[in-house]
Amino acid sequence: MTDSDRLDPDAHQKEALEQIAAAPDEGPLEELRVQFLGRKALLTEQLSKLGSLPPEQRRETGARLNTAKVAIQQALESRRDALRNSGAGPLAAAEAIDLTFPGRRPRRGHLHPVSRVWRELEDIFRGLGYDIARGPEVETDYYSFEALNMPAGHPARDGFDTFFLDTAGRSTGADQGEVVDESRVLLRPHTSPMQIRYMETHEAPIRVIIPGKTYRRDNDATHVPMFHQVEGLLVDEGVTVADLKGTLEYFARAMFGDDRRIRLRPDHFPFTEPSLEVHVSCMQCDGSGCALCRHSGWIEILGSGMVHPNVLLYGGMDPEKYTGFAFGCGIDRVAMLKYGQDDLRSFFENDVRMIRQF
Amino acid sequence: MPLRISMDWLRDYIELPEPASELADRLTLSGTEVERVITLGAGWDGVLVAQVQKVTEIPGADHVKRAVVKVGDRQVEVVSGAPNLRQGDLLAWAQPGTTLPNGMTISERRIKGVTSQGMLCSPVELGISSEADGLLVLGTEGPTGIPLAELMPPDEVMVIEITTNRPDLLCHMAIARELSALLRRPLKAPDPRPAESVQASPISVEIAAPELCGRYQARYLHGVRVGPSPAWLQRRLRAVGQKPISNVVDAANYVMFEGGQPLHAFDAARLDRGIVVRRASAGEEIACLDGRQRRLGEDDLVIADRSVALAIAGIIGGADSAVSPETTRILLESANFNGVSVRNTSRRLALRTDASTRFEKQLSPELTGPAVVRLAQLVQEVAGAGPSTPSLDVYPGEAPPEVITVRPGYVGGLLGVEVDDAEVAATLEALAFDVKPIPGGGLAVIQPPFRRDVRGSVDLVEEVGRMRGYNILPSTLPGRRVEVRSILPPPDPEWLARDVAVGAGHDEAINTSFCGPQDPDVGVFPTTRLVLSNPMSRDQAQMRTSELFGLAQTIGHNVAWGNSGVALFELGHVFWPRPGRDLPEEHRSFAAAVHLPPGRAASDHGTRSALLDLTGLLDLLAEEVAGETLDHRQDQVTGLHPGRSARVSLGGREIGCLGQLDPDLARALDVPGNVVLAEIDFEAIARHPRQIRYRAPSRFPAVLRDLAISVPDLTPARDVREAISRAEEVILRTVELFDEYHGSQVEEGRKGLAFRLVFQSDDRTLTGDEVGAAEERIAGMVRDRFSATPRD
Repeated sequence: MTDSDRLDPDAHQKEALEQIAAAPDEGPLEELRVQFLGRKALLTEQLSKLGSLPPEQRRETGARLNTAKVAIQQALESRRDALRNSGAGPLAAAEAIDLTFPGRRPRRGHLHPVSRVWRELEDIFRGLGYDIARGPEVETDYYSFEALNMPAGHPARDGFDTFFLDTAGRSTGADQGEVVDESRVLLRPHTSPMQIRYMETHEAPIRVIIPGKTYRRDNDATHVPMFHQVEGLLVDEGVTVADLKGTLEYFARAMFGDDRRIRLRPDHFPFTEPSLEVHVSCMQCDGSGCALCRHSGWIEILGSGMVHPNVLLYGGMDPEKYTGFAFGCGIDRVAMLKYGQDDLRSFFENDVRMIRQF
Repeated sequence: MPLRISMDWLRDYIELPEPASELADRLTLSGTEVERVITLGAGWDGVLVAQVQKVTEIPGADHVKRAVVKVGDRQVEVVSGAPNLRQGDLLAWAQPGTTLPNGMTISERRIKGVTSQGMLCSPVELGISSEADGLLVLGTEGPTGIPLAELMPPDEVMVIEITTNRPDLLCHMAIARELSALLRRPLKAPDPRPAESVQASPISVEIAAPELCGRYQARYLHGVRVGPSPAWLQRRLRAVGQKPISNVVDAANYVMFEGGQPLHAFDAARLDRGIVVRRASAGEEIACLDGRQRRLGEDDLVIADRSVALAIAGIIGGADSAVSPETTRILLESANFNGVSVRNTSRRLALRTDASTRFEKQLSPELTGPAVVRLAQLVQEVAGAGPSTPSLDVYPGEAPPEVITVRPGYVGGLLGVEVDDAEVAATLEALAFDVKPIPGGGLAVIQPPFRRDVRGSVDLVEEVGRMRGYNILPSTLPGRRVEVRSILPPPDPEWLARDVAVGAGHDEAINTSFCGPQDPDVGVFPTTRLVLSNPMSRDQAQMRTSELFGLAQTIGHNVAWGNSGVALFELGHVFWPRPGRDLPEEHRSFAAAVHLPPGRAASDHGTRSALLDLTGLLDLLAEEVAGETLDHRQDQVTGLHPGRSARVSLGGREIGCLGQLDPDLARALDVPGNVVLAEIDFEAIARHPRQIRYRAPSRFPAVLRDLAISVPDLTPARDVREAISRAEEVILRTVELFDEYHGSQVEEGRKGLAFRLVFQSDDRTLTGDEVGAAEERIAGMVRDRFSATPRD
């Protein structure tokens, strides 16, 4: 037998592993693979000669040679992986792409914050089974006031600071103080006219919200001449104040967070009776008092109430049979509270640096 | 106008050991909103009573004067700029070192060369009032050097905002009554018993306009000595923000703040025979108590004597008949006026007074009687008047009280909680309603005279609800088992449209619906605009008919803020007047606009590319929303670049346009580079939502063939493409126009167009021959129709 006949698999394996561990990159590693596992390698040769050994030796020698072969194979693979991962391989160098570079986002626009909240409102109420309706922004006095239990001369009309349209087609300039002809066409100062329009065209049970633009002669940090409201109306048999409370609590928690609480405070609107202002526990201080809630712990978010029997009558509903509740909520105000925005005017300047935050 | 309620005064009518803040919360949650509680006397340490001895000008100073004031046995010099600095007045003087309620610390200061030792205080600086109105005047007689708190004992004032339906709450008695019902504590109402003569009033009263004056009561008193009010009366008026004037006037004010009925006192010596309540004659003038002359018309109501108007009813008294220091005989007026009339006159004159704010909300005529009795008694007490005549009472507006019936269980049924009739009755009685059980169940309720706002049983639910407190109600969701009838319609396609635009990289703008007469028309929508009769400004005097100019302006603003290259869209209402109709046609418009900054983006190539993006956006929108294909026709459009504009139509109807903004307009808006815009009538695509029908893709290979042709320059590429698409080739699946070419490789006056044609069949693999034949037919067709010649 030659020297190779006396190959010690353990020593051979040890030598191979040392050389593999020292291989500087993939080129020399490939040479080592040929040297130790190639067709002409000692180990290969010995394995091919196994058949010539006596059966009793064949088993033992074969096992040792195979163990060495597997160990060397594994060492080669793990060294190759290590070299590639270390950045020293030829692919790493030649085709390197620096993935720490800032990502390039798909070009995508942004919804206006008011739209975002508007859509969220629709989703919340759709989930409660409400229809979503739209209505005209230019309205008649009848739907805006008269059918809402505010006949001509009603003092509550003053509070709406309504814009009137000159149907004769001429602008007379600002006419504050002048007694206006209340039969005129106007820009709706609230979304409530749609209560009547919707009742006129639908039968009980009614569940609807009507989001949209509204207009009032007002301009400061919390009032602009054009703003957004959502009207809600539910009319059915046996509707109660507790139902109003539950519905608006659901809304407040869905919109501002599950841990919000609400509080009702009696107020007055001619088109609801009883009328209730809804307060939500302050989302900034959680009720302990801060500048946002003016240290009261509560923030007013909407006006509501049980639909006045006269309004049901105007809408063609029988107040002896049906009751209902209605509410009106400023969408812009909800957006301001939700996103921590404190100047309403900037919503409508449409600076893209504002819009792109939403 | 917020109402001020003095706690000290309130305690005349009800025992209230609780702190004001606690009562404020109870009131607020029962519907009477207490905005804040002011503590009078806090921060008054170091504020003493002083009397002005001499006022002198300071040379070279226009706005301030020097005053020498007496403080006990000291004399100090103070500089003050107050307009009402008068010799002899008792004032509040803050000595140096005092820190006032507003946080200001007083020190000795040199002003215009004079050392001011301390400061003379206004009601604002002392935290008494929030309206600046000169110095606090404490009268003219009395000791000096004593702490202000001795003259004005500490008090707490609740500032209350009442709702328009509760004018009855504008007084202390009413607030006490609310608290009495809330706390179930007895109410002590005043029980005035003035000395009365047996003689009737020598002055007659006639109501000539009963539609505007429901009741007029009067009392005549003589032996009046007009002078300053006693300290307690002055103090209480000051606490509620009123300036003491004289004992008679102060007494009338006091009774108004006590019981809610505005009153007036005339100098009876100035009256020419009797009182006539009549409409003013056109152009009639009256000199008012505030020193101004006012011109009236026939819609205004006046209190007159037989010759002239003495007062504007329910608003302000006249100067000529006013109570003066010489007055000895007075006529007290307690009347009820039509609220709408008072409101209209008050608005027209731009004059709101404590009286008009009450009358315009329509008071009850039943309030006049108790008030005039109380005033007679008080005038006797504070102005030494002799016996009063009995009340003269003209009452054309008398109406029987209405009975409101409450069904058993009605109140709880609407609130959503059990409330028994006994509780309803007890609550209403505490609020001064007259309640009687109806045999067989239910309640018959009569409102107290001051609660005109309560008209029906639903109003009574509110009374019970607010007294119980709404916050203890359960929170439930409404619903009962009903048969399926109509289903909810699908969501509005608006949101789909917004998603398409946002996905295309456009940010959403919400612009104002207003525009100005100077704003140019842009686009293809109608241009007649709605006009406001009371705009807030000239540039917001009309309603927009299109969103395009607004978007262009918004691009201009963004450029000014340093945001170049913005892409915007808007989806809002536009307004098109309809002749002969009240309401305009109101449509939603979808518009998009992109700013192309100077350089590559605004180059011919860049602009074309941006316009194609917009065309594609409109196409995608119509396809997603309505499953429709839009037509685009190259044409000039108002406000757009004449060579770069197109009209957009759907099914033969024009619904919008797109193109580049007229460069002159872009310049006028200070926008460098170009702006490209598009707008369509959203209603045109929103009405018919897309119906999705699946079509199985072919399993046989597709054959791609490119067709390169040249056509005359002005041939719209879209027309050629349409013609190819519509060619009757069953195996032609899609036609894509992928290139347009101008330049040396095509003849002068022509342009190159390149189409990619895809041929495919659902049932077989196409042969080269059949594709070739189809291709030839198409080439022949475009040659015939568009003089197209083939290119390589």
